[in-house]
Amino acid sequence: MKINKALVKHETRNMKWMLLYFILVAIGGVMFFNTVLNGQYASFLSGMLINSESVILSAVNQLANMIALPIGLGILLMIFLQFKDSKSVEVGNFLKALPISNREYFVTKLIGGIVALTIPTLILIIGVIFIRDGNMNWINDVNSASIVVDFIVKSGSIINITTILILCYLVSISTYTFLFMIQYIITNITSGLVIGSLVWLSPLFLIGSIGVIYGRVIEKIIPSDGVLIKTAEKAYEYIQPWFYPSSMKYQDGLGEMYQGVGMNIQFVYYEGLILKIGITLLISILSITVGYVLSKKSKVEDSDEFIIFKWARVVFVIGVTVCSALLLTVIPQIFIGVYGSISFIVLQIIMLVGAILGFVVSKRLIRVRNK
Amino acid sequence: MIDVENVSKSFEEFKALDDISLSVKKGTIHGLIGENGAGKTTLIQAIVGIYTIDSGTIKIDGQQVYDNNIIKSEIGYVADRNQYFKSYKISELVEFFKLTYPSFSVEEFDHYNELMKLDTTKKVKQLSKGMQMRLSLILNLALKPKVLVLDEPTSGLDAIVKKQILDIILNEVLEREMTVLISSHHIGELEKICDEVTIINSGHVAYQSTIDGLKEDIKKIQVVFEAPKENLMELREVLNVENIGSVYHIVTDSFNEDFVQKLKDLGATIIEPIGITLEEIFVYTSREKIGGAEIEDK
Repeated sequence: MKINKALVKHETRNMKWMLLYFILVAIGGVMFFNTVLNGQYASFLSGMLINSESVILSAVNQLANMIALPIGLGILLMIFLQFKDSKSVEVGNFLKALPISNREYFVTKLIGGIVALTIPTLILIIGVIFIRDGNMNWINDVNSASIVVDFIVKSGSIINITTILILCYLVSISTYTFLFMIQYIITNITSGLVIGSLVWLSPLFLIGSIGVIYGRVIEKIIPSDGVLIKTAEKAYEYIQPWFYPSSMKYQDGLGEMYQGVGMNIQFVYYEGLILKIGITLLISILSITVGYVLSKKSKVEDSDEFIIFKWARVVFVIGVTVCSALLLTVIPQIFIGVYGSISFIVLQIIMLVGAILGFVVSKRLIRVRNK
Repeated sequence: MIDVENVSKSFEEFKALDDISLSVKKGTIHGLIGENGAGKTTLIQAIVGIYTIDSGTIKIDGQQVYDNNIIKSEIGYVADRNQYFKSYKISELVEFFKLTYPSFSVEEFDHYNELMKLDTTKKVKQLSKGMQMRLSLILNLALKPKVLVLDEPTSGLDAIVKKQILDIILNEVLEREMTVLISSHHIGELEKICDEVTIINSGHVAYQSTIDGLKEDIKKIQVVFEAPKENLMELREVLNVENIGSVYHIVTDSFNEDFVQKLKDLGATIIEPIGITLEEIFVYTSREKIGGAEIEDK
């Protein structure tokens, strides 16, 4: 596969700073992991440590939560830097006149971004394993005192924490590739990042608001302990990749026997790691494939359109219409708490008003021309 | 070398190019003249492969240009405005061109830069408009293109540099048979260097010919009438009339025996052709185009 060396060098100019940023985040993450374990060790010495959950797993979970925001912001900044030249009309014309194909631009940018996320992840994984090994003496003591020793040892194993960190990495890759793909649909970089991020986060809002608005109706029709509800709850966990790293499961293990006494303990674990890895991989591959097809179809003369493709404009209008309908309906429930006093019919009228507003606004937005 | 056949290009409702055809022979300099908004830049950007076209074909050396890296690597393109990465130093841009174009010669660049005197440690954003145009010109000359496309290349250049650049281009055409397509509002310059000229008006080709051919088609004649005439512009053959007393300067695209007889019938005593410049041809043909469709039929 031919890659233009000039282009690689050009991408490297921006990516080296992003690589440095992500490496700093990774080093910060390793230091944070070490600090958490030190804190756990202090608790262990003072006898305050809960020995029903893995010390390592708990620290990895805190680490995953801690690095999510800086990585997310880094991804937004990285995409901005990657597209700022090619989306400027004058530089865009210059680039288009060069003997470099759309495919080469796409591949070079994408590889640049993935490398900038991959190298720091390797540093993070190696650092975490290194810190873990340095703390294993006292952690083994903690583990051996647990009544669920096998479970806890397995939770904190190198394989398990590496799998969790790989999941975190793939979540960042799927976020990056999704937002990267959106840049080939929406011409303005910042608008693309904002709209892309909202779409990325939207499953939580869509399902959550439908639950709030129609929860009572659904409860009457479908029993809450039914298979349908349980399947929906399960699906709810899996359709939000960005939520995976922090989604540890707490399961009560009531009546466990410990030294002849019944104990209430909690099993703490990550559920469906392999399935979640599969989903993030699938999203990444789909985003890359769609992005590649769109990049081949992209034309310089479309640079003044807000949304390039007609089908994307239709999707955008439908999306904004549905989301604004739900938003306007769910606001009273969230902020005013008057849901109970609003009748179902009034709720539907509010929803219709929201939909009309969303439709009008989105129609106006797609007519916006970039200057 | 450059073959544009029945090319049309629209931007939504606006038809920027309407069934344009032109042909540029290898080793010649072809001028592109037109008013602002006539479609020159759109045509140039379609020729160098920036824009797609709605219909027709654009071929260079027999090959389609759009998305064709092989043919694009043989085209030099100097745009009318600065278009490079602003954060790059000139030396970095030279490196970028060297890695992008197999034929790019750093030695050639240095050679041309001895004339242009650009400080290669400076960043693109630190350069004035004229300096940026110099940079663009010598970068594109240093890649030794088979086809050089220039969009208003002399804007912002002082007279000395302008002459140096035009001399270099003429030299490249003579030595390497480089083909040049050049658009400029400085029609006097084009007249000096171009073998052929195309006049574009509102997305159409109004005229395409050699300079001499154009001057054969469009004539300026000096006519003396016995009494002043006020209705000469109404003649189908007349593009423009100016007079001082009974001496009239008439620009016509139909200088033939019939027209001479018609003038004589109106009382002309003396009829003699005088020199016409390319600029005058452009001005009068463009004016006529706005007024009616007569010339479009040509």
